[in-house]
Amino acid sequence: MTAIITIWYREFLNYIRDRSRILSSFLMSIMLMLVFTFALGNFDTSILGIEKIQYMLPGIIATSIFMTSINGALSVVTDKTEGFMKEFLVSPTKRSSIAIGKILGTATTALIQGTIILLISPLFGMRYSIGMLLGLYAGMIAIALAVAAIGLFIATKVKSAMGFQMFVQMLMMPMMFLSGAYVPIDNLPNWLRPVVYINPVTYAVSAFRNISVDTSGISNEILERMGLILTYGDFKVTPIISIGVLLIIGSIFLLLAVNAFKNVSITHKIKLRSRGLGSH
Amino acid sequence: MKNIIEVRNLTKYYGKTLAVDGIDFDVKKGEIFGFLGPNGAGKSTTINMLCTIIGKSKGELLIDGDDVFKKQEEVRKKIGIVFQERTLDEKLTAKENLYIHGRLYNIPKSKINERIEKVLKVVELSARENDLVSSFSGGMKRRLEIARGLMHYPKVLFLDEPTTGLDPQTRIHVWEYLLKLRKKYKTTIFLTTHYMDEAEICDRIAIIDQGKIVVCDTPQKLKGDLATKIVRFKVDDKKNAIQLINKEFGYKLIETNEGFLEIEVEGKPTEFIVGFSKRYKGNMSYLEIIKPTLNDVFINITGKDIRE
Repeated sequence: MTAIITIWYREFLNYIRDRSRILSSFLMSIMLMLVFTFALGNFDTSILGIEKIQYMLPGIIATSIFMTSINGALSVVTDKTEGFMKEFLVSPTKRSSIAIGKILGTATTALIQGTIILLISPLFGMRYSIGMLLGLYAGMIAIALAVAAIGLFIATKVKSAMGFQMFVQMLMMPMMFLSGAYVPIDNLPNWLRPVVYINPVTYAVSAFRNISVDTSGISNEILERMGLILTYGDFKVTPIISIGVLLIIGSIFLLLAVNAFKNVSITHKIKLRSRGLGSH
Repeated sequence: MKNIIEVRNLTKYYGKTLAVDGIDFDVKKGEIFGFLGPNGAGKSTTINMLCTIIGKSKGELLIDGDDVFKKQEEVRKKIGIVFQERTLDEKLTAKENLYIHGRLYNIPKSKINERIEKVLKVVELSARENDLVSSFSGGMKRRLEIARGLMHYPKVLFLDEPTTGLDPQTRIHVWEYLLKLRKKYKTTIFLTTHYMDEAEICDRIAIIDQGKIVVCDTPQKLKGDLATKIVRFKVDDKKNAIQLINKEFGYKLIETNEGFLEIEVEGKPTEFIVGFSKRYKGNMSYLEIIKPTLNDVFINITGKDIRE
């Protein structure tokens, strides 16, 4: 436990030390708000009896948490390339503690990002109730943890920061567009549906929409057309189920990442050298 | 004295390449033990096995009585490591780096600040404790790493090429700290190096070449074993002297570019010097007996210069 807290603490220190990261957190939030406002300029939400911001916000939160969380794992890659990872790996600390500490650290920065968006959104006309905020935070924690675990798993597999970023870029587009955040799932061709259903962002968007929009009194047909509810055949995915799915995805990737972590080579450089120069 | 490190028939293959070839050695408690060898000799591979970083292919390895490969976590608590490359978090302060290390090694919160102060004092970085590591010079970073390695009072401190990349003055400083530390904490120090002057400071050194330990002894003994000494001198009548030496002594004679004559003598050089000065009629304006350095020992043993 001490080790997990220590590793989390170091991630947190690194975040608050880095002014550019905090600044970019703010800028990203404002930018996402503006982009969504323009992108959905003509989108009519009056049929739901809600403001446009209410419809957009779930996508904004899911997107920004997703981006912050997955990029957070970059620190694992730079720790490896800059050498600090060795300090962790030779200490009498369990590999699983290192992985969990890292995931918690990343999830924390993602939650800070989410909080910034929640704080800014009233300027764009968003209103909250206490229950809604609690629901949003439960969803945010779940998606932040799940995506942080996915990021960590990727980070243990790649060798350079460049490789990590390329892989994440490749993953980012489909995960954001095939989540219902921008394009209602109903409009997507059938063959893409399986991707939508294994995409954790889908569940986050669905949970956030259900939490932030009061859907009672609106017909299922309209809700489905507007991408407000996620269905699986006749089965309706509630926010609780969504959060559950996220936590399950997170746990699977946590196990994968811990397992991959056990095999992280600290001596990667030495081995390379031994092959290159026939030495060591 | 008890052995703190015991190594028996330790072997490591990388694929089919044999990196460490069945080495044996012991390190006594409280000693400074140096691993000397050229790049690629197997130094880093050996120290990495000792530090629980990589596995073995064969053999046995005990640190303070614990099997390094079976009781990894136990061993990790007992050792401190200063890696060849930098492993500090440069975005944090010196104190924070030490704090994180201390917590990872389970030093209780109540004791941790006192420890940090103590080790920072040893490496003379107390005044910079709240500065970001990124503002430190290379030597300061190395000293901080040594301080970090000491935080949990390890029984053995491993240093992999501790002064590589540091300027000569900083190297001397780092060594002063290491010697001070040994005096203060009686820590056993195991280091790898390819600097001869560093090897001279060690209590004992093992020369490793092509994965094998070629010799293992005190620097004095190793130099003593290499009996060849060079007598360098200058005479006013070179021609005569050369003739005399070739006729009477039968040593191999070298004429240097600077006008010196040099001969290699096995055993005591006095016999030659006395004999020569008795028979030689001219003046001898210069005389020097050159003792072997560790580098000579090294060349003699491995057949190559360490810096090659």
